[in-house]
Amino acid sequence: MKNRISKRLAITTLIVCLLVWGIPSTFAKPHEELTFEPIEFKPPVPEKRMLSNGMTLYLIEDHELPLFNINGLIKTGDIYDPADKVGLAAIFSSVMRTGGTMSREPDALNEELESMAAAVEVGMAAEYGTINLSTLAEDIGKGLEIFADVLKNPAFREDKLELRKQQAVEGIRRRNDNPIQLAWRNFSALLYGTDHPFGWYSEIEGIESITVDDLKAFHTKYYHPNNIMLAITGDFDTEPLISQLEEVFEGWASAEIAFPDVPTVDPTPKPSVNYIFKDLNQTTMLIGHFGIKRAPDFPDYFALRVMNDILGEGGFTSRLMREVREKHGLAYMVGSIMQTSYYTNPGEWFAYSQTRTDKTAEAISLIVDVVKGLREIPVPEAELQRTKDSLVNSFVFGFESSAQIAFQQMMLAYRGFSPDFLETFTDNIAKVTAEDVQAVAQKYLHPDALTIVTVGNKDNFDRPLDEFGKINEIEIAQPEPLPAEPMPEASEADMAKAKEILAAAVEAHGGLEKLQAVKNLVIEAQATGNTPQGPMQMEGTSYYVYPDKFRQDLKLPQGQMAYVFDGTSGFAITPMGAQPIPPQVAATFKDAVFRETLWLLPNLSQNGIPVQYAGPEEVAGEPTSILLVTQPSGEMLRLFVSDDTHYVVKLSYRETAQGTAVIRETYMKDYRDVDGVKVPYHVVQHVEGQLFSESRVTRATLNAELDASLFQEPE
Amino acid sequence: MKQIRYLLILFLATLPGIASAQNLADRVVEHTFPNGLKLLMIKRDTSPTVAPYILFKAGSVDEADDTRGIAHMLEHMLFKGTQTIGTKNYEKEERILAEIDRIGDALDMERAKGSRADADKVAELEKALKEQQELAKEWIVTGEYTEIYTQHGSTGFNAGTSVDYTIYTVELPSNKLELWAMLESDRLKNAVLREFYVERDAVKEERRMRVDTQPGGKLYEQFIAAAFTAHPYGMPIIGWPSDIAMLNRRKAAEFFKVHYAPNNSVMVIVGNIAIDKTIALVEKYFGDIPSQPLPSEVTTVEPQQEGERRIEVEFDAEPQLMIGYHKPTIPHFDDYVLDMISAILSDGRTSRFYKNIVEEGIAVSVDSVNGYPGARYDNLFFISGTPRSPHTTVDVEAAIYAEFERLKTEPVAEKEFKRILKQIDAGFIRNLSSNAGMARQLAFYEGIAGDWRYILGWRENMYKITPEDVMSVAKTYFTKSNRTVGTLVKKEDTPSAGNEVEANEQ
Repeated sequence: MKNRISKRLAITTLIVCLLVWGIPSTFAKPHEELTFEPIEFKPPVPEKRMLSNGMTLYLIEDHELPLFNINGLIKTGDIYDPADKVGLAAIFSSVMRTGGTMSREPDALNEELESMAAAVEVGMAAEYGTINLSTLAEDIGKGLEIFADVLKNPAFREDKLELRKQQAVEGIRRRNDNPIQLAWRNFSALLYGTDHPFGWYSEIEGIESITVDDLKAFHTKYYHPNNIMLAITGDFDTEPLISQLEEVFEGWASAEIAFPDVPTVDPTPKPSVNYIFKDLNQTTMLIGHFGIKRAPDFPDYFALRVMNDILGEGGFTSRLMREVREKHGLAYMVGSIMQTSYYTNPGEWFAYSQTRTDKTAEAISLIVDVVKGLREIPVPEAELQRTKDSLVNSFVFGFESSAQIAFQQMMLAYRGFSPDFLETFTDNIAKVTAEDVQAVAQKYLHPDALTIVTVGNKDNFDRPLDEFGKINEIEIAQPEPLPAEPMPEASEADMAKAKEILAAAVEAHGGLEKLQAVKNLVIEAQATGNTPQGPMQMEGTSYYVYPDKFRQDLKLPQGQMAYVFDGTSGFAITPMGAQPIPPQVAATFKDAVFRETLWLLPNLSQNGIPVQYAGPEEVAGEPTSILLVTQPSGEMLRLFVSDDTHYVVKLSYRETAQGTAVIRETYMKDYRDVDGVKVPYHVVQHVEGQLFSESRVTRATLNAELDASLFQEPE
Repeated sequence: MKQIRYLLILFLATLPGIASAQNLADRVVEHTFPNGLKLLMIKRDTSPTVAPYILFKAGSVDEADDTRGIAHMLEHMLFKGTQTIGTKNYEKEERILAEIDRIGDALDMERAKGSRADADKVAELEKALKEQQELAKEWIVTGEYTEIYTQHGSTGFNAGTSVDYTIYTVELPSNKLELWAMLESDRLKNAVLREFYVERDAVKEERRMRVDTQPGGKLYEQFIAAAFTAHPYGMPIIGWPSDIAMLNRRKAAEFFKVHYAPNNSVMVIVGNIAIDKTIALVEKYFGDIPSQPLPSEVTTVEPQQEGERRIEVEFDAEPQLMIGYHKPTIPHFDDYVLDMISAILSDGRTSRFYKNIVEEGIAVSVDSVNGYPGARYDNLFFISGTPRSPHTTVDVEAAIYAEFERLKTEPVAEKEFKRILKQIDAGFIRNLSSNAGMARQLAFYEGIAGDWRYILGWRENMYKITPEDVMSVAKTYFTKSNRTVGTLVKKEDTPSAGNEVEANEQ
């Protein structure tokens, strides 16, 4: 990918001629007597061009349908994730699309694309990134403009990054739900270890630490025209299109890219037998070892293709399928995969099966025997011929659409396949002998050095798995929620100072006696919620019954809602009826009552709850002192007490649940007297530094007559 | 079936409309043979390949209580060969197969006694069965039928069973079309359902893989069983474990005989073909299969739902949510309106579910599909959601209902309609770019809607829908009493429950 000016590069002409005749046989079955016309097919050949900025293009004009497609490839990948931010590249790729561009808000971008039935999507694989455009031919101009905008000017908006991180955390929380995913994660981690990106998987902490600056840096590092190839197909004319491309990418200069070193895997096999408990009636098993690192010159490729097809990649006719499923009924899904495309490090080879628990060992043995068989005994001629025929005859399916042809050509170049790879493919397959297959089986399959991962319930296994080696039992923990923020060490002086500040606050809010007389508080308020769709007006009434009951009634545009917490459990009343609230959400209500200042101040001053002073800070220009205290949930609460009025003018705390956390800040202003105690009439909430809601109290009532039914679930 | 509807919505719902619909209408060639077999063809010369598909209007809905799972089981069995393929000598093999059936039946009956089964007798029968299976191996050529296709360069050789139909799919180099006609007609005329009990074990593994070990699969099975109390749409396609355990060759052969008739099927061939030669080829191989009286339709009608139904499934997994509302099937006008509603709710990043639920962080995904689990009979508008913690299924459910309330009270903006209609028209063009995709779609609509032109009428109807239609349909169907709600709940502790593994398997 040298930076040359629009130089036309001749690409090897590709002609696929398929000549398949009837197979002569002495004992012919009816289908064996059929003869077939030879197919002569010249698939279109992509034209290779280069833009003035160094971007490589593979173009095929195809006027069958009024469609237009670009499949782009960027040299980057998950392999460049930093060790402490695993998942960065994947999150980068999705926020590159969802975060909009410098001139297009995310909603506007979505609306623009979908209203013309077009799509721009960005993706990330281990050793490359992708970006695609699909549009109607009538919208090529607009489509190209948006495509270039996303590629050049992604904005990585903070809120979209935050959303994507939350989704990633949820994915981590759910990663043990599916046995295949569970087995796979552990298999690759065992194989590659903790020092290699192929063995890494995301953890909550790493995801949490990803910032907008990280995404921008990733973009700046890899997304330059000289590092991008585009396969372009559909209903267009090449020369005008090239001009359009030059135009939309104008001013985007190429740049030197220093690709980080990817750690090199130690290919020594580390065989192990691993077991993960999951109480299921079927065992998911992965059995394998390192596979192949792709080199530009790779003569074993064709014998390997044949061998892999015979072993387990050839679908219903492969040996694993035949033995394990068709002859023994021990699986529905069974097969093997050898990853041969990685260029930085060896990929993995593995066989897989899902088999009833009480046949686990039998299935493993059967799979290992099939692998051994390929090494020990030459493949019978008929099976070899069938497999080669299959590869040669189905080769044409690599050329079904121009998009597929152009993409394939681009991918082969990216991975360093020789330029005549496709042209010579069928000949090379035809040359493979039974000896070749056995030789690659012996070279690349190692049934004596297997990493075995099983997920299931060993109580029901047919035999213990130690016949395959010493068993390593892997404990799987549900990714835990973030631990509560620890209270800092406090000195005697800090504790004493806190007491002083607290006493002044109690006095300022009405004095201990008046505060202790408050048994309940009803707040009626008008609020404006800040939603992505714009401000949302709502009315609400909150009931605090000390020490621990809480109810909030909300009038929203879409109907009325209520959240009720009776001190131990809670429920929500929606337009569709009442539904229980899970304990972890109910716990946040407990904290909400705890934080209510008319209760909090006397509670803290009288009940021996440790409070410590943590220094001064200005809140909206007003000097305040910070007090720290632990809430019922264990999360720390920061109170900001005005040095002047001694009112609590701000609360700050972290809300966490199941691994995600947001900082909430509540600003309390306009304190007014209500029956001798002080209540803030203007409350503004920020979440993660962004305005979340603003409410103005219309009425505050102390010690109201409250009906017990308020906290009872309606019929 | 569900995939097809989904396809329709995602892809059809993804242009120059009239021109593209007209283009499709002009390109489909129809031919009906004297035996009732309907053949649809599209000639596409982009590559020398062809996708011939056959659909039988025979799905799990056509089963009886004692044959539940047989439509799917038969689909598996039709890959086992014929009287000439898959065998070295069918006459000799046939005698052993009869013996296997006899022992297998006795074994199934004994095992079905459960805890009262005679263990010695079971062991003895198992041994006898094993012996006969070993004898049969002398004559059986396992996998030969599949091998022939594979050797000739097939791709996508497979089949699928839905509640409504069973479809047999393959793509081949276009010079191999006659091979397809020969092999397919051979299995319709001379199928041998050999290796039955081994395949039945593989089907049990399929059930474990799709249902027992998959939180989503498990929840769906229980959800759909709750949503339908009378109509067979509530039954699992693959069958309950105890149903699968009692399936046999006789039941499969009977189902085959009743349902696999030329006048109960649709054949679609898309690709590099010559139309006249293709008609002649199909006539030559399939023309002599006699037509027969059609099996009766399901007459049970799901009674009107009289109140919300809620079910829970405990599983070692994080929560999931499924919601379904009963509604009429095609070609009721409301069904078109519900297709529109589904697009408004969940197609793309401009959709309401995405913007108001996913982007709000309440759920990681929320999807809607109109027309679960089938389309031959009245069905469900289906919604599934995956909450994002700390949000729960309660929050996701409330957020979904808020969107339904909006549909009932706020007219849909012109802009939303226009966007969806543009995507529908684009879908017509995009669909034409895949032989296999076109074959599947034409087979489905010809087989299930009774006429592939449904696709054209669908587009016209979508254009007719007004904001008032959306409000009125939303009010009619999205009611509390008309819905079933299923939630997957995390099992608090998962003790090592030892002995539930089937004692009654071979």
